[in-house]
Amino acid sequence: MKPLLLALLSLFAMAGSADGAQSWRTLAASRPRGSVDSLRVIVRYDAGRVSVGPASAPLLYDVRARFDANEQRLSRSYDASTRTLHVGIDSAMRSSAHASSGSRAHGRLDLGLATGIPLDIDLDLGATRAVLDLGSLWVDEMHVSSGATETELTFGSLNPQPMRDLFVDAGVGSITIRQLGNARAEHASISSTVGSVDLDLGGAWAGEMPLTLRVALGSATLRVPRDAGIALRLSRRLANVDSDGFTVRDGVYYSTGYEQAKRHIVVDGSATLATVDIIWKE
Amino acid sequence: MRASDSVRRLRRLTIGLLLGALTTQGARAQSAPQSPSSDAVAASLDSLRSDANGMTLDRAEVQSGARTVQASEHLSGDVASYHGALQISGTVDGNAAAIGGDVVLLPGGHVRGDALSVGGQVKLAGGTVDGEMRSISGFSVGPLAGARLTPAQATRRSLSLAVACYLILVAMALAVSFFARGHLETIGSTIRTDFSRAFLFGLLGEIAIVPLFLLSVVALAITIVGILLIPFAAVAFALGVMGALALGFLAMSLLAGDAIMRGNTAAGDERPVVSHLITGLSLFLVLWLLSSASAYTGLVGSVLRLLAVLSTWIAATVGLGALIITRGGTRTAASVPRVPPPPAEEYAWQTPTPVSGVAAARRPTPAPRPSQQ
Repeated sequence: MKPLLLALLSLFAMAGSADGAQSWRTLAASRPRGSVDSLRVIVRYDAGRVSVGPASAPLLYDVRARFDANEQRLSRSYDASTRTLHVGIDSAMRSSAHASSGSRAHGRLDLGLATGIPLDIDLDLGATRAVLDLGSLWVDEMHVSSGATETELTFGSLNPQPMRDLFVDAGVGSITIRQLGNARAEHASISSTVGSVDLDLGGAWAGEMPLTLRVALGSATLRVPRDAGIALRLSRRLANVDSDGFTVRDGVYYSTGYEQAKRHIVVDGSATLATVDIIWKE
Repeated sequence: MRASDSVRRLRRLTIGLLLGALTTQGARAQSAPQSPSSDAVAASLDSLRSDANGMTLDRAEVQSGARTVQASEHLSGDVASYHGALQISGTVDGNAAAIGGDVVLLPGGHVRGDALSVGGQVKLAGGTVDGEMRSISGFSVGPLAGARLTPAQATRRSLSLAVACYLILVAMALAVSFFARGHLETIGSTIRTDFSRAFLFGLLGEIAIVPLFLLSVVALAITIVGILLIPFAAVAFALGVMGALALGFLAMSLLAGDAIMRGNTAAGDERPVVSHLITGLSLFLVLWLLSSASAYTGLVGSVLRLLAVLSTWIAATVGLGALIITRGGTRTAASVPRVPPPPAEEYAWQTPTPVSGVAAARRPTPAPRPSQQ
């Protein structure tokens, strides 16, 4: 029995070590901005951490990545005619079955984008941790779809022009958005299937901020500036909405002094098996 | 043939297969296809062409060692260096690449296309690049860069999977033989006495798995607390099904082990369940190892795979059926009546066999009617 056991273990160890081998590669790619006046960015990534931020001045984009060449093939391509940058794991390899936990833990993609030109950003993220620092970028449109992820968006400074659409859809995980008001989104939609949503509605915005919030099996925290009024028009299914101090008219919850407030937040959407908390911030 | 001989043969076969697989892997690794060309530069250019972040270069444009494009030079095509830096002071209309070195754009240097460095960096030292500046630490294409596994890798993965399953089942077999030996024996004896019925019940059980799961989900969804319990219930259901299949499979393996080790245990001795179980499991392992090792041998491989799948499925199905019949090994098959026994009273008057010497009984006669009296 002993030789049999040894043979089994040696085969298992050999196969295991071969499968677990990793071959790390780094990629750095950048392009001068030249006369390009807008950029569309499409990112498909599900193997590690991803960050998005501003690139240094003369560059249109600056991609830096670290990936396991044994399991993934990360590539980028730029189409000058449509001014579109594609970055990500090749679709043939983009399967969770191929990415080991090591690749996920140590893979990384850092994307720098040009400042001063309108950006249309489309992120499709898998099981990643995403840190998106959008301050000083001109984001014209932004779509973020994620699977099991932890996503942080920060609008550190005022968007030069109003953003046409902001759409964030998280499957399982957490979404944190800081200074959402700086995005100046004409329409913002935030969805979470399972997990938590933390929305800081601060920033140097004025007028009305329309927001669609859909949260299920989790919690949503809205951090509202003290000088803003908020109206909640949420369809609730087994949900608890923190509405202390709110007045109800026609099924809509209005914060105290809503009419007198200089700026208004109108929240539509739904909460299912979830809690929605309002926190007032100075 | 004695049982100990057959066990020895089984062990020898298993070890032989494993060693054969190891040797085959080594041989395959050593005989891996060489670069399409013996020319290292050409091989690198092939890799560069195949790399998602690479580019296509002509062999004639590549110079071994360092290369400098002088300020007075104006190249209309591409320029590349191999294992040396590429310094550019002039103008290049195409791409500039350095394989195993840096691309350095000196003052006045101008590349209208892309600048690429493999294993180095693209450095702007006063020059400009109109296209993309790109550096990669190495070629991304390699032995595993494609999505498809090579036959050697697929074989190795199949072998390791078979061994991993075997080791898990051996661990389960040890646990079951220590903690639920009675249940296992009951299931095993049910398989032995009523194989076809166990198979039928197992088949019905497998068919009923999905409807049962859906029914339980629907039942849970009726209440709020139940909705929250659905994920846990799904996991518990999956674990239960897998556990039942594994226990049934172990019972079937025990029977297989009994068959192989028949005569190896002295009469009156309690049979060693653990070694019988492991022997039975090893039989299935041999089948799967043969199937994995011959996966790329055409018809033989297909037949062996079919044999392995069928035998494993039948074993698991029969085991599951016996587990259902015996309610998880808690009841013997004999205690579950199949058909109602014939009424004894009607024929109780019949004469029993004379072997035992019991006196003949008289058929009961009805009492005479009043009119007959």
